[in-house]
Amino acid sequence: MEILEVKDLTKMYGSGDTQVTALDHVSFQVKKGEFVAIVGASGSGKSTLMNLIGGIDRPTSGDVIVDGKEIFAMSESALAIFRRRNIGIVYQFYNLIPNLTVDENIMLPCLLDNRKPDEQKLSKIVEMTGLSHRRDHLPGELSGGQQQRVSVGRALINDPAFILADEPTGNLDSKAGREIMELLLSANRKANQTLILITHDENIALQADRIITISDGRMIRDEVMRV
Amino acid sequence: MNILCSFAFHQLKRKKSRTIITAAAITLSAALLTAVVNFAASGNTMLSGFLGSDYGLYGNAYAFTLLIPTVFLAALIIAMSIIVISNAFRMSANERISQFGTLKCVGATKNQIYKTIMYECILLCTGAIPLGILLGYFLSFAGIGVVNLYIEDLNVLVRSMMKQVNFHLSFVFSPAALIISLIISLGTVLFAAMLPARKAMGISALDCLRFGGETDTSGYKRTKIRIDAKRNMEYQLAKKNVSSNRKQMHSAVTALSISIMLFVTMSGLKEIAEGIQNYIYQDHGCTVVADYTAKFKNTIHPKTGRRQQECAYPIDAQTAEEITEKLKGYQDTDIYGSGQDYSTYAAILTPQDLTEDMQKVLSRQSGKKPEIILDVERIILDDKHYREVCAQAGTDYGGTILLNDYKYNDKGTERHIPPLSMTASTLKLEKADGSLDHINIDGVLTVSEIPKELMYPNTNPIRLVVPSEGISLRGYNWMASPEDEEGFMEYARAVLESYFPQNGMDYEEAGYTSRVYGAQDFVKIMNIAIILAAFFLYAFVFLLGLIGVLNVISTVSFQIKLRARELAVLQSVGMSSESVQKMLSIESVLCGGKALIFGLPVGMCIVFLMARCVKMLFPISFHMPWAAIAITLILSLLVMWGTVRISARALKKQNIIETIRI
Repeated sequence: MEILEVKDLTKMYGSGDTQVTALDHVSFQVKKGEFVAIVGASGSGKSTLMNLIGGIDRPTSGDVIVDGKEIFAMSESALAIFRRRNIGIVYQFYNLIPNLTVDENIMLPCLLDNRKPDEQKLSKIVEMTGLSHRRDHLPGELSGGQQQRVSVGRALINDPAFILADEPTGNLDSKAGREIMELLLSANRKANQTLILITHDENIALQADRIITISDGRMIRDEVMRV
Repeated sequence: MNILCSFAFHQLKRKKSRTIITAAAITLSAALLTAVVNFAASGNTMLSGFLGSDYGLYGNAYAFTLLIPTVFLAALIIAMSIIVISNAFRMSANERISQFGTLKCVGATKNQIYKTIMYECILLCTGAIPLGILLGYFLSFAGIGVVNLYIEDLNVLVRSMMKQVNFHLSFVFSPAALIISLIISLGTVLFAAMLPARKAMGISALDCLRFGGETDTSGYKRTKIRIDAKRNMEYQLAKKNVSSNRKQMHSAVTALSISIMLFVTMSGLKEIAEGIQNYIYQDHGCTVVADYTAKFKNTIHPKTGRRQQECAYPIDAQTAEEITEKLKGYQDTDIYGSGQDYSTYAAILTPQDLTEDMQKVLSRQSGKKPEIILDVERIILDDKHYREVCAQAGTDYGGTILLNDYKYNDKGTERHIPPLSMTASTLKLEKADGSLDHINIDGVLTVSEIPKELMYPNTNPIRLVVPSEGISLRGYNWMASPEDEEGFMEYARAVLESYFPQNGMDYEEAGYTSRVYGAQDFVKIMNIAIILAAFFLYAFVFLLGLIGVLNVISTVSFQIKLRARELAVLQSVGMSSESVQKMLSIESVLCGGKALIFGLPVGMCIVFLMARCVKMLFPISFHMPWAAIAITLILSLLVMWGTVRISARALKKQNIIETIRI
């Protein structure tokens, strides 16, 4: 069953002589529980693709269908609500709210929905991230690796259709990077969580079920690594 | 606590200094609005106290007199508050823009971003507006206290002229004024916060993350200024920075400009008021004035259509002379008695009867006409002074003397010209009913010969000193300079009361009034009025200016923090800390200069236009308030320079490498 369908996605910036095609007719599908790595050189269009899949940016043409819903047919507000309930995003620079505690940062998508998550579920995620002893700490009091774990926890809190991770280990040392990958892989393998990961680290990409290569805005390869 | 409210609360807590400055601006804004509204409420109570609930005959005029300044001052406060408070929220939103980006990425809607800024505003309002209203009541209370320091003096002076008047301004707590102040203050702050909130909610998540602390890169303008080694480097950099970052400093410059403009305008207004005071006051060389004025009614004669005056209780020349003699009886005081009749006659003249100067003035006013009708003022004097005038004019006792001087306002300058050419020795005078009289002119006094007692602000073109027999007038004045002023005044009051008993009735009821007052009393009343008006207007401008200065401090310190990285980069490539400080100081002077370039000319233009308008009515001497302009200039530059110096001090403590890495 396809959880994500990217259809003929094109994104252009600027106009006239300065027009740049960041993404050029990219199409692929992702199944539920699949781990897809998107690789490519710097400036190839990976981040543009991620922003479009996450509904943060709007395409020039094409569509993204998440769990059967065309996300760009939604209004901006409806898309924001859809995003917080169905898409988990992990950034390279964590992007945590500095004045919220670990618990609050993880709960943030639920809090924006004006609801508190199930305490058991929150505890399970906190435990999974290994931050049970730091639940009341602020991001500034945590190491980079710990902050990224909070970010992963936040992405998982609403049982999203998929997790979108943009270079999640790019700002971490190798040990912390490994720990984050273990956390993401654990969510993918144990909880059947769909994972789309953008990276330029070959070793990380090789752990994926599929590797999609982007170059100059075009999808030039889609390799299945394991079934 | 709601998560959005929690964000707002944390932001306020985190940025303590700006929170304090913004809260202070909101408090001052609410305080000024409350003070103005409460003053209007107190003024309304005072006016209804002695005019009645509908303000009596001239109700609309009084209502507008109260309403127009209130609305004008409230509009100024609202405009200034919106600029300043909106800027504070814009800075807060700018700082949190990457946080908004994260929130949007994890699913916050536009409305939620909007709400988080509005919560910040509501949290600030919760404390600042009640505090402001309290402060406003305190200001109003203190202001009324200041008025009451002078009001008894004012009452004593005014009562000597208008017996029934008793000004009493008391502090009024009006629930309606409270609700109005609350609604306007809250509305102003909410509107001010709404502008940046709407802007922040419209920025895409990607732009929020991409630009970090700078929501709007279009604020930086490409300029033609090129940096070369020809001039001082710090100056060139500062000039380029001011030119390219103008949008960032826009609100600070605007707020400072408005403060400058208001200060100059108020100073000009004070100069104009003093000019009017000087014009109105005529030094007749006397210290006490006693007068009698009868109630009159202007009507139109049914046959001729000319204006005529009806007066139930005129004073005849014989009574006036009797009173003069009685007043002289007090320690042998010299009395100058005079009475004027402005309405009985009009002179029918031909152009040849007039001097060239007078013809020019009249043709400017109403064009050239073959027959000219001019208003006539008949003056009677007490016997002694009439004799003196006759002698001075070289005529026998009983003659008619022409005071050949016409005073007019020539585009703001007082000019004196002889109106009649004196080719004829007889004047044809017409009454309102059309009947004619011919009066012989027996003597003429020119402007330099006219006694100073007969020089007053409003005079008719044709002025005749006539023998007093058989003449009744609407009013009469007795001017004196007694040694014992108080004693004389008491004596004169008793004399006038014996002739014109008031019996506790006012002017309207009795049909006449008599007064005894000091010749300087008008000046004193004007002085008190000017002092009070100047005190309140300067206090108002000071407090409004303070809101502007708070904005300057807030904006400048924010801009310097925002530019910390840029300044660290400059230092990393070899610019010394002193050079950075120098560059920032030059920038501050340039920004202050920009505020002055707008504020000073606009303020001066307003003053000039006000003076022009007033000069159409009064030929006042007016000078630009240069001292106030100089003070404004120095203060504006000092505020900018001082704020930059203090804000830039924090830069010295920072580590260049750490700052660049951020």
